[in-house]
Amino acid sequence: MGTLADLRSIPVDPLEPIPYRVVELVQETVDVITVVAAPVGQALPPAQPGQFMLVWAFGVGEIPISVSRMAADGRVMLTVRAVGQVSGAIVGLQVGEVVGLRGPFGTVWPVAEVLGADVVVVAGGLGLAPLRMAIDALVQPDPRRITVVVGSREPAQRLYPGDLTGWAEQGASVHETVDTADREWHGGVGTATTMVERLHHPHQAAFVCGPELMMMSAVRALAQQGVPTDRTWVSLERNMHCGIGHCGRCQLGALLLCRDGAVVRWDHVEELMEVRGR
Amino acid sequence: MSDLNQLLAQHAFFAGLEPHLIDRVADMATVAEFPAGTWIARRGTEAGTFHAVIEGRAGIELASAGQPALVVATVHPGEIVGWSWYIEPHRWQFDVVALDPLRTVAIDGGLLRVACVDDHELGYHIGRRLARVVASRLDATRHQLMDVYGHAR
Ligand SMILES: Cc1cc2nc3c(=O)[nH]c(=O)nc-3n(C[C@H](O)[C@H](O)[C@H](O)COP(=O)(O)OP(=O)(O)OC[C@H]3O[C@@H](n4cnc5c(N)ncnc54)[C@H](O)[C@@H]3O)c2cc1C
Ligand code: FES
Repeated sequence: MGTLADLRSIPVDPLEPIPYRVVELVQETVDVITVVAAPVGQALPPAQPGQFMLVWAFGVGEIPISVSRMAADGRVMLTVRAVGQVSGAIVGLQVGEVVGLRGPFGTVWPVAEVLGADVVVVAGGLGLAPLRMAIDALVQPDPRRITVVVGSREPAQRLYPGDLTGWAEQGASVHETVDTADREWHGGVGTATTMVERLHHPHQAAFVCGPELMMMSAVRALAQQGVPTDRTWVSLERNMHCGIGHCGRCQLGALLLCRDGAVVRWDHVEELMEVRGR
Repeated sequence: MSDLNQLLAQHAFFAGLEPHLIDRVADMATVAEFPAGTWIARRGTEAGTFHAVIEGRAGIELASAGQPALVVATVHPGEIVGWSWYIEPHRWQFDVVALDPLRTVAIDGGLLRVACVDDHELGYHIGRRLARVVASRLDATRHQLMDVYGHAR
């Protein structure tokens, strides 16, 4: 009989969901939960910063969710907002229940390529989830070169406040802003773009993730501040189905975002982003 | 150069203004300090002054009947509070509160308005800078109204 280690080394079929058990649930905000899931048997390969899994809620359906963190023992953290049927079912999971995971899929934030540069990371709302591991990896070697700008709807909707404090304590420059607040709020009130416009320190590279409107406006502000568009990466998250470049559901121009994204260089998609939906 | 002239010359709103124009503005200005929690302006009152923020944050507040006031924008060092002094009927449109101990250069809007009519070079530069501030606030407000974070990504 094979050992667990043998089982873990068997290559996985990218179309077959692998069972993971929910071992912990972290209530991040009123409607956002981080599901911590551990492999029941065979584990998927570790996700890199920016990659996503297809998460199967049994009997309901399957949706793409970014990996917000990986633990050394193979546990996967997925931060999910309930917006519909499948995400609602995932947010409603109990500890001990099992989900199916496929992946990890997609491109990664090019952390190694920008190390040594002054990097600004701009996250809006849940967009902080796929950036979390990238920020960890950037801050750890050289925190003083890293600026993090985070926009949220209101203070109660902030994601990972402990991480934000931790990155700031390590020496990164962290700027938070919300759409509205009361007087107790310590950060800015306004858009992430307004916060970006306040940065006077020049940056040579940027990672941006959030609602598309927010990303487009933030990227324009970054370009005005001199961040080159070929050193600016965004994460484009369109509806997905197969996750492996077969079905065409995630097509954007010549790109299949499940395979060529979600993380893409801005100068490769800038024109496509100007095309209006109908 | 006096301290006040220097504060104005180094402030992002006035950056690049010719020294003789900075001198004119400085003649109408004074340094103001507000403890945290105090009012800088009240909605509906005469907008006689505007503020170039030097230190601390000002909060622009909107209150509707029966609801607690909400801060809808913060103004940070290098930015200005108020353009109502420039546009009729010269009344504040919002309440403005000091969120931190706040230091500003307070400029007499009435005098500056007259000076802008008098001296079109000054009027052009001030008007252009104000238009930039208004355009950027309008853009921010549009995005806030879209409630982008309220939806799935
Ligand atoms: C690569 C990738 C990574 C993602 N990472 C995360 C994550 O970490 N956490 C998270 O909560 N969500 C994430 N999403 C979004 C998530 O996949 C959708 O919210 C989910 O598919 C909605 O499915 P549903 O059945 O719950 O809702 P549906 O009933 O399918 O939709 C409910 C509402 O959500 C909108 N919606 C559905 N999918 C998307 C989408 N991809 N982008 C924008 N709006 C959408 C629909 O238009 C509809 O208004 C990611 C999406 C992609 C493509
Ligand atoms: S999701 Fe099927 S091709 Fe991308």
